[in-house]
Amino acid sequence: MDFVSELALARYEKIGEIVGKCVERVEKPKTFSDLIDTVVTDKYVGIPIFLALMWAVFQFAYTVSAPFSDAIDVFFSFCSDWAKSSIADPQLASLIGDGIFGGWGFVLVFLPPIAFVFLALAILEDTGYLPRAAFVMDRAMTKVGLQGKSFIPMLLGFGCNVPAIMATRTIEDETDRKITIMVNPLMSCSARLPVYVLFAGVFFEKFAGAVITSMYLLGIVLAAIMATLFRKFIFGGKPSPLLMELPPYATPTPRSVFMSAWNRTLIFLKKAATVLFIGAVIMWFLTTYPWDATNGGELIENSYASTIGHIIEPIIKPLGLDWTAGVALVGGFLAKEIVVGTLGMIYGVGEEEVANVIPEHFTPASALALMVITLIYLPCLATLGILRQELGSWKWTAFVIVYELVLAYVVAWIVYGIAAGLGVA
Amino acid sequence: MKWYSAILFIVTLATGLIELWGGLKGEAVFQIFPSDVFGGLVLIVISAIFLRGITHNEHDAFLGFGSLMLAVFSVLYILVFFANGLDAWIVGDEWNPVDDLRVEIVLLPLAIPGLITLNRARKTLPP
Repeated sequence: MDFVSELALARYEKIGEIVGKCVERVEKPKTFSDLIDTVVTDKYVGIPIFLALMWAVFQFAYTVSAPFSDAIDVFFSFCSDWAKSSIADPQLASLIGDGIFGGWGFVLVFLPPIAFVFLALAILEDTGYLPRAAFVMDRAMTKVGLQGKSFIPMLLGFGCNVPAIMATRTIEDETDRKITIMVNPLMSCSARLPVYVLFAGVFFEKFAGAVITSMYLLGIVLAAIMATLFRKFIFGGKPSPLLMELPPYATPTPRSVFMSAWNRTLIFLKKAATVLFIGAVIMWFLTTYPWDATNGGELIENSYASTIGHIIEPIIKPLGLDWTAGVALVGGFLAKEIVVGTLGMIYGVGEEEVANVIPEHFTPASALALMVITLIYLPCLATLGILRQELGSWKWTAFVIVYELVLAYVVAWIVYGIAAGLGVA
Repeated sequence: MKWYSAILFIVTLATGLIELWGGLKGEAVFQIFPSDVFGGLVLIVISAIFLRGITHNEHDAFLGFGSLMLAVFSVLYILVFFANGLDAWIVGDEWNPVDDLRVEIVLLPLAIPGLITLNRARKTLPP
């Protein structure tokens, strides 16, 4: 047991001693909170209840918010088309249509799921359930160098790493919070799913489901390993003991729920939106210039993005990947959703026809390598902005980028080697 | 009310297993039972709460909370139902309401007795 735990226990012991001398005990009446705690902290159904409620949060955040995201997407697509058809100068039209409106569209479609996650979490927080959830998960998380409160942000990472990293604010201990933030991008967010679905569907037809599931499991295993390593070799110490008073259950008021969700969402709007918007304009520039050579962004193989892809090619060649994968991965840095779309642009086909073309550029082994790299290599730009904001340091943000790049390369190389060795290539 | 917990246990377990089976098969077994592995697992968790309550001293707590979970997921799928309709209208797709009607929505009335028990406890016991 560490010093902090010893101190806390000694304090409680002393308190107990003083209270024992001064207070006459009467039978404590059973409360409503005791009644509910009997169920939610039960040794058999406590953890399953927590997982079921987290699934409800997921469904609420990503399914119920979908029409709002689509409405934003439709609106900005309309603005983009309007700008491109109304502005005479093609470069200015492309900048305003694709760069600015396209960039804002990219940023704001993330807003509804993020706001809905915060809304759901605010409800759980105000009812008093979240401290119980942390209590229920504490033992499992302590084994990998984290603590009970780390579990909720890790789980939210399967939806989107941006609100997941922001949800680490509920962790008081700075070291526990830092480790949770640093391993969170390894949780496979929903934006990576289209890449898995495409490549697993094309190369592993019957086993597509197993391959996709294995990507999620790989992310969880790597997050557990890295959290253990960070705790052991960088930060030291042990996860802070989970000492907390369990507040009584309460009915949340709409005002407090909406205020809590709004305040957290506003932070995303102010900070991440700025970073992602600038990034979107940069990607527009890279895929559209030199203007004449790309014919206004139509010939992407002549663009600066293509040049970057060719620079990356020698590095990714040992993994069986060519320059087109390099460009797609550069695009994926902006938002993982556009990896598939970028490949379509390079091969000159729509997103639906990419499946017919990729077997000419990938083997099953290199497809596995690309999926592994997409899982690990870099957080997207929005996540990077939030990482910087929440870690409060460029040094730690750079560390996350470097460790993820190295880890992605090593794991992808191992996976490619094993797959090729087994004759999958 | 143990008999009612037993009924809810059987109903939620059966519906959960059907959803799970459909999810593993890749196609819905019956019209309002979607092929949904996670949806099925959630119903099995709810059934486990009712089962645990049958053998536990605090039986009412398990009946009440299990019913609350059932109601939460019913309301959630009602929201999903309307969200899918709205989404189809926004993007201009066709929407068949029957496709989004789930068994959990139909099970909502079964949660009412448990919710009444829970509400009674909330009013009579200190917070």
